[in-house]
Amino acid sequence: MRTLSEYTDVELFGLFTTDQGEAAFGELYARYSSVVYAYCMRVMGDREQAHDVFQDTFMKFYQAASRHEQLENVKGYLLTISRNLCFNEKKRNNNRTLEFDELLYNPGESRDADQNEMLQLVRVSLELLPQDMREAFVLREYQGLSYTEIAKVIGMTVPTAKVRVFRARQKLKEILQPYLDEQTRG
Amino acid sequence: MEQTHEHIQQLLDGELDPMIESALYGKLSVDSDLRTEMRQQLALRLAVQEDRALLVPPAALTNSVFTNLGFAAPLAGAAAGAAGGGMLAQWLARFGVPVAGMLAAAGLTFGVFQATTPQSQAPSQTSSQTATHTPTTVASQADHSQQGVPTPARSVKNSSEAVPGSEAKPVVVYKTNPAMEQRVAELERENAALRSQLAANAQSQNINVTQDESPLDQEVDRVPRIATVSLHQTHGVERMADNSPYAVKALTLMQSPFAPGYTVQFRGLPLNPTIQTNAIQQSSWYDNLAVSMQYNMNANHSLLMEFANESYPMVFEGWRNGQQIRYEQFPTMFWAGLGYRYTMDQLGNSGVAPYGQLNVGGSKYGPIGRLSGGIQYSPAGAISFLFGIEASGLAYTFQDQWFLSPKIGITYGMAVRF
Repeated sequence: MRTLSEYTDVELFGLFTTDQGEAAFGELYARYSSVVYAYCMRVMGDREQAHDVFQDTFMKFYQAASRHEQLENVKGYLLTISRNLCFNEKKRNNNRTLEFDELLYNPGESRDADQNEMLQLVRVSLELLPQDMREAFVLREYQGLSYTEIAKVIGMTVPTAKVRVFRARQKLKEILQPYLDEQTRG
Repeated sequence: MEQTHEHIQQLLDGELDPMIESALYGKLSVDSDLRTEMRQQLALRLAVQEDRALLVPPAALTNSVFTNLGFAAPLAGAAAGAAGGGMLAQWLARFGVPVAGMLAAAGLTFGVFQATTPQSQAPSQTSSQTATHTPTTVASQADHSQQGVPTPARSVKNSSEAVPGSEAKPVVVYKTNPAMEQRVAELERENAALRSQLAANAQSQNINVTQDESPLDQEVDRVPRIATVSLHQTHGVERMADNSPYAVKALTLMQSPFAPGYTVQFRGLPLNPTIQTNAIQQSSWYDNLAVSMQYNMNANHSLLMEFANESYPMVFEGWRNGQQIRYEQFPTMFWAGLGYRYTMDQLGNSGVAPYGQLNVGGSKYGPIGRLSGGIQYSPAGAISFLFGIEASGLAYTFQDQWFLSPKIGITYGMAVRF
């Protein structure tokens, strides 16, 4: 007998409406929770909002079983739900000012290593990117999606997706240029 | 220049056309700025990958998702559940550990009890006794003989024909505790007085009445009873030989809460964790409540089977994607276990008796042990109350490492004997 970890995403989704629904959901959660979490955190920027969106994503995902008998791309579907929720949340909080990372700007906090500082810089720099660039960049770099998959999730052409990712990388590099210069010199 | 930068990115993505690739290598070999660009792009990607590895949903958030969906908290248990397929695997994932814990505890308790308790002496009975004794009475005899209490067993032999309507039944007296002994003595005095009166009446009617001290297992022939008393049960002794001149007044004895029988007990477990966590405790109205079925083997020893829904904080560390991560969660879990309770003799006539209890059981997260001590108060009738202190611990594993979640606090409850 196969264990649930050997089931495909599609098969597991199909089990949602059966008595194995809880276990199947647990398995898919184990597979994709960190993917969705990374997306929410880096696209939303704000931890609390990201957590709200993360929770709502999985709630809606589970509830979707009653509307869809099967899904071909579970990961893409999860990211689409997450993206829509992030978009709504952003729109709702449009007037909020950007909150800077206190750790980065608090000299009293310890910084174990340069790499940790680099990570902090990357996080803050991401928030300075325009939303469309950031989203494409996160899907590409954090989720490892292909350009075709990015195009599907965002709803654009593949060349547009490529351009957005390229520009996001360049923009990030510009923001981090002083730090990168220092690092590459060292 | 921008196109070359794009080619560098495509190269790092592994998507660069081989024709362009060789040309790019040529440029990189002569242009230090391009090499710097490439190094910086690589550094950026590495930083992103490291950042990505750290982005794991916190345990509290995961618990929140599952709780909102009405599911059990994941992690050790859910992992097992998720990995398992089919009804049996799921059932085992959820109840396997508790059942195994119960079986282990049952074996342990039985073994300890067998090793510490002397074998009961089997009661011998005559056919006439068998016809009239209740099982409880037989058990009383065995226990009585075991304790060596010199309670005289009596039968009254009537040399004349039995009074119509009467039946033979021996007097059985069971010692349970000092209060009971005192009551027995009173009864004996009353019976002695009645016996004297009986003898006087018989003499006046020319009936020969004798008294002996024959043991209970001797056959009793056609005797109008004086009284049949089992002190550990509530019953009024029926008026024997109502139509005879030897009728004895009815007696009603108080029930002993400590004698053989079954008890259902409900108790609260408001224990405090000794480890700190910021995780939000899962809660429902039946949390930290336990119900148990208890079999009182005698006045002092009881075996019990207990079930409860209880919260334990779980704080542990593990590794994920090369990073050490601290997890915190506060799940509520169902557990089941077996236990042994030793109840001391009650303090005077107060109805209060100290007790100590040991439980061993299991939950889906791991084994649970509990140790408690306190007092049991049995005012009258079938209801008693308990209050005590209790320490418990949940042991669980994560990534082959054991962790312990200890708790300590008070416990209180109510028991109904039937």
